[in-house]
Amino acid sequence: MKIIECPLNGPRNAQEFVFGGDVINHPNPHLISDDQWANYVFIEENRAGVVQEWWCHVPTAYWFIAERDTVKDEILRTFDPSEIYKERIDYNRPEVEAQSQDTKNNKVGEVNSTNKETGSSI
Amino acid sequence: MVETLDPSSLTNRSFLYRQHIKSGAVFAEMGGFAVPLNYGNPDSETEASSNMGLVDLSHLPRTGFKGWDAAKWLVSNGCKVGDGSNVTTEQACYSRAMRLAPSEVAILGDLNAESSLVNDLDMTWSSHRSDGVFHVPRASTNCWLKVTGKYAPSMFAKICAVDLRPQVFGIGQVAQTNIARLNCIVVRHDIDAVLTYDILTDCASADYFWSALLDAMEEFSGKPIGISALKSLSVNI
Repeated sequence: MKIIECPLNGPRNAQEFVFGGDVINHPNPHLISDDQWANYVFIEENRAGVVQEWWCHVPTAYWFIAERDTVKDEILRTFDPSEIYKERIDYNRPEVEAQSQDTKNNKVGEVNSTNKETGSSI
Repeated sequence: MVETLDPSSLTNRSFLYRQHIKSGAVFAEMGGFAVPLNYGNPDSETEASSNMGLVDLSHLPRTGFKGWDAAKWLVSNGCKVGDGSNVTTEQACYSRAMRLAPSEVAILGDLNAESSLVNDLDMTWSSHRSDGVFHVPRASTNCWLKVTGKYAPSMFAKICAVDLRPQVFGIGQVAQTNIARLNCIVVRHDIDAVLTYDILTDCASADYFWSALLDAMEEFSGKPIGISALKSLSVNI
């Protein structure tokens, strides 16, 4: 029986887990082309070596990240995603974000000329 | 022939009431539910309760809350919650709060359904919803079974990959894992000196799970036991 160490539940039978794909930086879908988005959604790098991957412990619906050596098929480390993702990420459309920023600025009665950010990415 | 209540005469029934009827259960009304008092042989069920027995507790109150503020919200509403994950905290009223993750707690009512904690929490949540707290209606989504007796760890060894032996799996410890290929929450809850385990699992698979457990229990002479045999384990329930 193959064992995976779940950061929440401890060692568990590998049958209790499902694979969720590589950990990759999420691009802001409003700021990239359709080709770039298709590339992000469908193309896997399929690297030989140590990679970071999403895994889910199904009985608890708990998602975590595993560092796995794809050559040896060996999981080196598992950890909670909060180690990487510290804040919630929202991808507002640039115009929506600009509008909400204007409303906010009008409320406080001043214009923040330095805030030109129109999207976020990790 | 023993006079018994017809479960279909009540609006609240266990997910497993058809199985209980097939097994010859004698029903009584408890909290609006038809609950099996025994299955026609109370003496052998009392004996089985400390060796290998299976009880349906789906009539008892239970609920759950999840979200980044769930634990804080529960504490502010009078429910004690442990710090670590997969641990149980006993409440003053014999209810139990299982912390399943930093952001999720499940609450089990007491075995006599006398505590109002579960109902109070559900009512408070529906009248004062709070950001970061989401209700998990476990009473309508999970069936609640209890496996009793000294052979329980040996039986679980056949259908569950987690080691549930008492020297490894402490009282109040929670495991979220597969049992008989179903996702389950299992918690050890000894009654006096008798080893017992509560299991919550998907109610839609209750029929399968009940049969799978009875099949695994057969070699230990396990059998369904009524609520009377469970209560015989302790004067406190």
